[in-house]
Amino acid sequence: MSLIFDKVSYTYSSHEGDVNALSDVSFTLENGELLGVIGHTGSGKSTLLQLMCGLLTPSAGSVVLDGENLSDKKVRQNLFTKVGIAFQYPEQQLFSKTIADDIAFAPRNAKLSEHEVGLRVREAMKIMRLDYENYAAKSPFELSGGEMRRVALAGVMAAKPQLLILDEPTAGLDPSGRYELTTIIDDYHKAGTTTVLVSHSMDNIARLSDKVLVLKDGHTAFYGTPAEVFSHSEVLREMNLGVPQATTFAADLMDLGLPLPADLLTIDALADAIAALFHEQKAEVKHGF
Amino acid sequence: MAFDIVLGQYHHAESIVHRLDPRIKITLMLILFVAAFLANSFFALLVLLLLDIVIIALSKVRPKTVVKAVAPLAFLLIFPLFFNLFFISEGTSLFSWGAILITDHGAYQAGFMTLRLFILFLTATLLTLTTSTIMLGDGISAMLRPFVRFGLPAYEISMMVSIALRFLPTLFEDFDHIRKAQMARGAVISQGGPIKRVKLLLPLLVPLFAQSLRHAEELAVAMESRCYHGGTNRTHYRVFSVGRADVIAIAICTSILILMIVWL
Repeated sequence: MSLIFDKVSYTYSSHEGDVNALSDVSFTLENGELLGVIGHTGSGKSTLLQLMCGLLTPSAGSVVLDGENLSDKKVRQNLFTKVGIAFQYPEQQLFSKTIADDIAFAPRNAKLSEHEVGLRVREAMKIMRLDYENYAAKSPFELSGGEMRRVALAGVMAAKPQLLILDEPTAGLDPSGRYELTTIIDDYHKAGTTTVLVSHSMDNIARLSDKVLVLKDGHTAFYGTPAEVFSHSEVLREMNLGVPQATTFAADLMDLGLPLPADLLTIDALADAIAALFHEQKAEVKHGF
Repeated sequence: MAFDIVLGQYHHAESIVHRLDPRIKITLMLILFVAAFLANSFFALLVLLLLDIVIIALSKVRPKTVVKAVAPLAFLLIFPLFFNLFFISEGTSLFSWGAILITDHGAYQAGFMTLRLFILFLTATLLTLTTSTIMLGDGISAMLRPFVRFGLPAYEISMMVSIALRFLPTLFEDFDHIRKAQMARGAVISQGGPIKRVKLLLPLLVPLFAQSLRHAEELAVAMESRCYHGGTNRTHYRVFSVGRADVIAIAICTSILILMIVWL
């Protein structure tokens, strides 16, 4: 599912006057791509996500999903069957007696047959690596934080969205939980779902994204491929956002005089580049003698 | 964020009203409450309304903010308006259509009761708008202190009031958050008969309760880890003192109350 933001602004009025939560943001996300969104609290991320799923409509500009403008009320009806969103700490939305019931909430709202709902629940639990026999009949409130998170995300995926929006899905998880969830998201995206991912982990953004959008005070600070965006490492550091570890490490090595390429974003790419350099030098040494 | 709740919330400004001793402000509110209940003419209520308006002007809180703070309570005004307007049958008829009868006496009572209730809301709102929750809590606790010897849990009461006011916006935020999350899963909020409506509310209310319990637990741990143990032997960082402005404010309000009892 393609997603186009065309000069989108969002203004709301508070008791302190009008506030521009988002000004003139444009980007294009093609079908199957992953957009990484970076920005501090209050940068407009949350507004951006709510505009994508039709919870808010733009004050100016247009949000177009597969050719359909979301400012049209008819288009927004039943949008939840196409666009799935997991806000921060989605486990706070759990409410049912059993995990299976909770995951079935969206498919049931879509008025699918009980048979189809059952299939969707099993499928979503499989994606989120929750064993059906073990978990389906349990109460979501007996689970650990990490398990609750996965149940909540399964509840979003059960609607089989063509556009999946995730707001810091790994926030508050332990390292192994973060790693596992990131792998699941990566796999799910690679299976063909257009994805929007908000994350504070520059490593994940660099590794997973096709396009990266950096927001600052409601404006687009940077937008482009990960290599383009992270080439502005100085400015990103000034914004207290930072760059991927691999990029920092590569920059340090380059300062020491190693001739590395400029756009190293992932640890794998960095390792390959260092290995290539090593082989090159070895070859040179051999030739020299 | 987009969800803007002012109900019961403090708005900081540098004003004479903000600087008044919280004990005095609570007393003033009580005096004005009594005055509003004793008032038995429109003129008396208008005097009180005027006084509230003067307080708003002195407090430097924007009138728009005051309106927003009172607005959520407006639906409570509908009941006295409705009951007095339609259920008082004494007096001369102004309008009748089928079973509906509106009399001049009913209309007068409706207007009077609604205005009285509105003044009560406005006065209470002015207190919370100009007094921070900490000051309010300390004020209540100081005023209830004499009753501790009779077994009144004064510190606990003031702590409860401050916590409730502190968590009101959090509760609204949580509700907004949960509502959006469930709407994104296709939840329909209002549809069908009363039983169905309650069922539709469960996806909102269950997480809201769960979240509130979580907040309460976290707060309890935070308080215990800082050795909170109620009020006994507790001293205060802020020591209240009654100043000239406080005396003048009390004098004005008390004289209005006396005037109300004697003449109006």
